[in-house]
Amino acid sequence: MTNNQSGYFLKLSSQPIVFEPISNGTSVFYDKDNQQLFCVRGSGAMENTDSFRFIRRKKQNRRIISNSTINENQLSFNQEQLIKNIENKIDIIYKSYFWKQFEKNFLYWINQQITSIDILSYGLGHISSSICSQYQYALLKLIEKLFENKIENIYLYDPIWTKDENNFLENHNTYSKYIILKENNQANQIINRSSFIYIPFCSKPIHNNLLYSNWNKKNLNEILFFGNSLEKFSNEIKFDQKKFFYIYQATNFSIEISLPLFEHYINAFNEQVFTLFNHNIISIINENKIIQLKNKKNEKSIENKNQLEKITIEQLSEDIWSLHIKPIYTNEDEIVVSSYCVTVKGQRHEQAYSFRLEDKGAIQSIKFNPDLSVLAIKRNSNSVEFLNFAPIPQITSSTRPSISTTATILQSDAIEYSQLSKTKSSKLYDFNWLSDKEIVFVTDQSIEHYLLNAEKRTLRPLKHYPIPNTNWQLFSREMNLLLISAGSPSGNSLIPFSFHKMQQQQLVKLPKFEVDLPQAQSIMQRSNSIASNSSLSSSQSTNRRCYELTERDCMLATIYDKAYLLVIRQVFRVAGQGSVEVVLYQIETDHKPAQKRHILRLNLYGKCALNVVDNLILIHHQPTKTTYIYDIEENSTSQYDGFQTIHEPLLSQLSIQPINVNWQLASSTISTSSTTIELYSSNWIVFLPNVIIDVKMGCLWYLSINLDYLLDLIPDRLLLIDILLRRINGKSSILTLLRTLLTNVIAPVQIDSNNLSNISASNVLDCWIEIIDRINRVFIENSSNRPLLDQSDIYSVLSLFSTIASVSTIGTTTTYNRSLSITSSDTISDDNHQTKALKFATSVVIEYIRSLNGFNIQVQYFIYELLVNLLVKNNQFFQLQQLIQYQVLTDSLKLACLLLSLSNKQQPTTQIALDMLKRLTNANEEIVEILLGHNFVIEALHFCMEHIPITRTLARKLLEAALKSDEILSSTTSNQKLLFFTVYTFFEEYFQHTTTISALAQLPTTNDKDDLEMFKTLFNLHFRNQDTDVANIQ
Amino acid sequence: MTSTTEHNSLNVYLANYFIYCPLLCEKEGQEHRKILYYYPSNVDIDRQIRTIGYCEGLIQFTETFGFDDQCECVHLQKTRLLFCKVEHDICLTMTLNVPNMERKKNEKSIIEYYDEHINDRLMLSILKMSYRYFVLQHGTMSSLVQPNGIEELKNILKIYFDKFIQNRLHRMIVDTTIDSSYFGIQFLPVEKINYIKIQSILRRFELRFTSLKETLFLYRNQLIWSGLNQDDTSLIYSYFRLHYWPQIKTLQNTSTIRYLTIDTSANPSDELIISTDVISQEFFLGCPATSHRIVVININLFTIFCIFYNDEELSNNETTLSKINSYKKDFDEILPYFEENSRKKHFTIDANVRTIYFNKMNMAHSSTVDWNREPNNTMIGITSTLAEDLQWFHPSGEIMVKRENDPWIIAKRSDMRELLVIINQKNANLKDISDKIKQIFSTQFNNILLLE
Repeated sequence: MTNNQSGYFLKLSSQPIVFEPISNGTSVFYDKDNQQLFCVRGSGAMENTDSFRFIRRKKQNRRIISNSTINENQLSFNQEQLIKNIENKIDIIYKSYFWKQFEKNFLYWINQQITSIDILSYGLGHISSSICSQYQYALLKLIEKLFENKIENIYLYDPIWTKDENNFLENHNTYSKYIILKENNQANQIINRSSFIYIPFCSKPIHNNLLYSNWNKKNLNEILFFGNSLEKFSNEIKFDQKKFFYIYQATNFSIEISLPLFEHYINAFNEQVFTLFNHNIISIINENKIIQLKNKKNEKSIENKNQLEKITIEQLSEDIWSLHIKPIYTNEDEIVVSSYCVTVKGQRHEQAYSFRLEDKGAIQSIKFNPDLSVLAIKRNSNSVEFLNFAPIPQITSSTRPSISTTATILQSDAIEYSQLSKTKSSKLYDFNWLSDKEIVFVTDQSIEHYLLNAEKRTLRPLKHYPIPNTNWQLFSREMNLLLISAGSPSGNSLIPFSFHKMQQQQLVKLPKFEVDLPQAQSIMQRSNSIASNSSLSSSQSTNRRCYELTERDCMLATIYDKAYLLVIRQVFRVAGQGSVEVVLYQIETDHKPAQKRHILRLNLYGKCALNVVDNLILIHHQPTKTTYIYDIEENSTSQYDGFQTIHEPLLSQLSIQPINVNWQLASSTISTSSTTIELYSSNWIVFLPNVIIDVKMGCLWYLSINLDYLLDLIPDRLLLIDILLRRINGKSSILTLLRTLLTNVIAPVQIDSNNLSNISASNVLDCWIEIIDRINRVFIENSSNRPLLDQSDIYSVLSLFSTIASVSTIGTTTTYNRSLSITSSDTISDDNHQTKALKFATSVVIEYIRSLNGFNIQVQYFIYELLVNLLVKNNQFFQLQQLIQYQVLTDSLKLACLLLSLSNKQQPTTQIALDMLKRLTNANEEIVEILLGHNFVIEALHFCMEHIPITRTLARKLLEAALKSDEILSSTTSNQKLLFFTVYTFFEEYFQHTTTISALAQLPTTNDKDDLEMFKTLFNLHFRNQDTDVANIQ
Repeated sequence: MTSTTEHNSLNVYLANYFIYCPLLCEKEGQEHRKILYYYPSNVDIDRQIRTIGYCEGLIQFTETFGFDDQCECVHLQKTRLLFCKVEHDICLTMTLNVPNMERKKNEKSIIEYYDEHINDRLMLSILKMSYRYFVLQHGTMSSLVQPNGIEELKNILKIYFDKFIQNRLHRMIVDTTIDSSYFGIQFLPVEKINYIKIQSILRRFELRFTSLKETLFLYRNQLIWSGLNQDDTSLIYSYFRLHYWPQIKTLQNTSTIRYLTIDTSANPSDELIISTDVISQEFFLGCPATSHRIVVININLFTIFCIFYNDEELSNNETTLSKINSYKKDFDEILPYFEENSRKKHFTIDANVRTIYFNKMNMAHSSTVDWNREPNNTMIGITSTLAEDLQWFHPSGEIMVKRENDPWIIAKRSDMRELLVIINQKNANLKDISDKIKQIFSTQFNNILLLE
């Protein structure tokens, strides 16, 4: 944590969206289009043993799924078949290496036991449909077969068992010692004798309750668990020590024996271990091994977690034994629920919701419609169930913007309705919500477009497009695009559909195109989930997919407002040396087939994942844990070969900023405070545009970019500005860039900068000219994804010029009498620097004005004001005059006022201001005021006669002004109210002439009359009596 | 060359020109010391002393009356005395012979003197300008005294003014018109977009040199931009019109960059030195006048005065050349606009109307009067007199004058602007002219506020 914010270009959102980490009993689904994450807890999910795997499987080739779960689920419950299946599986297990180890350990333990044993088995799951469950059941049967004489009773319980399954289990095991529990005792089962507790993939509460029920030395010594590792539970980042107190304490003295992989079906027993508490049972050699193993694990595991020292069961302090806390679980932690509890979290609504569903089998896909009123669930391969939800309660958003930990409970109306795929015998792959009411089913033979009526709970088919041999689909609601891979078995023949382009409820088929597959020797590696599979299965799948284009290698994204299909592929240019390429196909809507436009080259080989952030394409390279960044509009890193543009990375070998997750904030539990996250973890699953999910950790982040980092990284300012100008939120970084650029000149810092030559004033100005032109060009184009810097933004940068002190005015005020003295050189050099700085600043502002004019953008007043102030500071009044004369500063009332305020003895700017007001033509009133302010009464009167309708108010104003300036003049000359006389006689005559028409129209109020009366008496007093003679003469 | 000797008695001509400093005479008998320069030099020293003493006396005498401004001119029947005090205690004086004509009247020949043929305002501005030109090239006199002593100053003055009076001053006095007396600046009208382009080029150019203070930019003989203050700008501009322009306009129009300097000691016809290497010249600018280096760049009809603080940067000829050359492209780019502009410029103006416009605020000056083509002596006199009279109006005023067989002359002042209009419409009455004037104002001067 040495570096500050600008140390990393890539950042994860500081507070991840936290969800139930993958343990057993939780499945996670991510809906890209709604940006929602579904966590499905409960028995239905448990079947999938490992939600992480589930997700991945979802992304895998369809065939895997179709071969396994779904088909069998579809079959009617066939006991004979099942028995056959199970016997088959027993056979497989018996021959496996896994069993050999299992048996060895089990035998060792069972021989130590004095009495015969009980077997307790919980949560085996749907043995009728789940392969996992069948294997698990098969293993149980195998144990039963081999150790029959030692076994007293076998207790079986799983609340999710259907009637059929219960019947089957009872019938199938009539003769034996099976006891099928009917009551849900929350696994609070106290053992009667030595017991083998068989709980593969059961959740923490079950473990915890079993430990709690048998929390004494005697019982614990007689127990052998086969299930999830307690150690692993306690190492989970969000592990709650209080809630799972017994698990936590048990790890003090528990001994775990891990088993080899069960190669035939990894998921069946993956990571399941033996756990026992009696140290005497285990051979010493074995123990050492285990301890060593554990130490290693500890080293790897997170440091700031308080690891308890290993002790034997006898060493555990008595208080802990005497403690008798009955575990209390909240709703969410219910051990066995008969329905799914689904939590939805997402960015879009910034709120977690939870609701319950009836358990009707494993969920394969679950998605809300955009306004969250209807939930669609796919549980089998030819129908989709729908569930209406009440409108989402409006959360007072003011409370807390962060993701609150308490989930709002959503209420469904509990009536599910379903839609079968129209084509019989077709397999439904997935469905997509086009809008609140429209949904599209993608099956292996067609696309079906339905209109949903939520009130009536019906769906009306709109259109049906038969597409034979569909392989997979990609969908993006944002882009209005559905992409189907169909036809060719290698999956590289793609048909795009666009919807809602022209009108609602319309799906338009666009011309199909083919993605060229890599050369024969190349190997398609699975990508976009950094996740690594265990080596064995990975190589298998690789071999299988040699010549295929798979869903996981393809992504849809909008980049620079164009729709692209991104395809990751591994290529071998040089023998034995692979590299990664990302190929961009532009999908055009004007009925031309998609074109291969761009190729992003990465000279590395290995697993990659893509993100698109702010039109930058980020390639995460998992083996080196680095990210490479491409900008397809940057010319300097690309080259056009006549067909496609080939891009090199704009930025290489970046890594994501290390991040700590503070669990305390994320959840209500009081566990360890914060943990460092493993970046580029193999548990990451990456979704476009910028979603990263760590399934093991239970975190969802949004990847963001820190543009400020580029400021230091890219020395070429012009390249930098181009890059920043293509970023939607590049604005603040651009402003920082400009600010540093200008500060370098006006307040140079010596220590700074690697290349001093670049910051000479003239270079900076050249640079500024280019930059400002580009900024304004972007501003004029006004495209939505670019930063628009308006004049107030630029002004915020330019205003730093206000820090330049003004040049002392000594130079201009000195007269010849100072000529014999020598001006001190000190002030001169100081002034010199300031003059330079001011000149530079002026040039910068003028360049900005030039650029604005060049793009026909009207310049705002504050820019002019800044320029005027700079010129005034530098005593360049003459230059200001010239600039106004040549109309560089456009006339405006505000500017005229500014000039008026600047006017002083040395630099009369009043004239310019008056000219400007005259040109404005609508500022005549102001002109009169200014003239009167200068006591130019007669001039004002002349002006009024020509430009302003004469009213009594105006007359009063002028008469008052005349009297005032008469007073001033009378002090110097023998003025006898001459101005007053002139003005009065003018108005007297004027009103006499016009009384009939205009003066009547605006009848003076009594007050006004009085006012003018006052002038009349004054006039009569001064002139009338003497002037009578004159009048006579005339 | 010829003007020194040929005195046409009908013309004004320079009788003498001298500079003195009263402070230098400490005791009686040392009066000759205060003479810094005297023209003509062949005048007897005693006569010089007497003339100077006489002027000094006049100035001191008038000072006792307590006017704000000191006496600037004295009208005598045969001569006109003009004073100008500079640098606090140095006085420049110029004596002009009043034009005269011998006439026979009653068989006696009388010499009639035409006092009104000399306009004080015009002549005073020439006198002041003669001093400013000196300062521009040599600095103030007091600054010259300090390092070198009085004698050196006298030498410099003699060399400079002998040449100046012979080559320039005589002509200036004879040829003076109201237009030339303003020493104003003619601005070239340029469209905003192009103007900003020039600004951009010049400002980038200026920043290229650390010691470059300011630039002046001219096209043909009209100014487009000056970064200097008003006084220095008008001085350099007048200097340009006096020395550079007559030569530049005869030069061949090439697009190579040329550097110009002026050698004032040479004859007017070949004082312009043209070089393709960067050469600079010393100018004294600012207030107080300090030494600057001037590089005058000529490309086509553009002339750029570059005012440097010192010549440090200029010493490296090659880098300077390459720096300047790198901007040649920019100047070439804007050239077509100016060529175009100067060609189409001549919009139809009323053949009967001539205008002279001067704005004291920014020294802007424009004139449509061609003094060579309309050598109407009386009209010159009237316009000058009217212009002089305008000074009394504040802030505005208007005079309309017509003499028999002469055109109407309208003089108008509005705050700091002076406007003289000559309308050759002999039968028009006052009303017609008043309307005509209104029309002229609203068409040609519609963008400024003219007070009435």
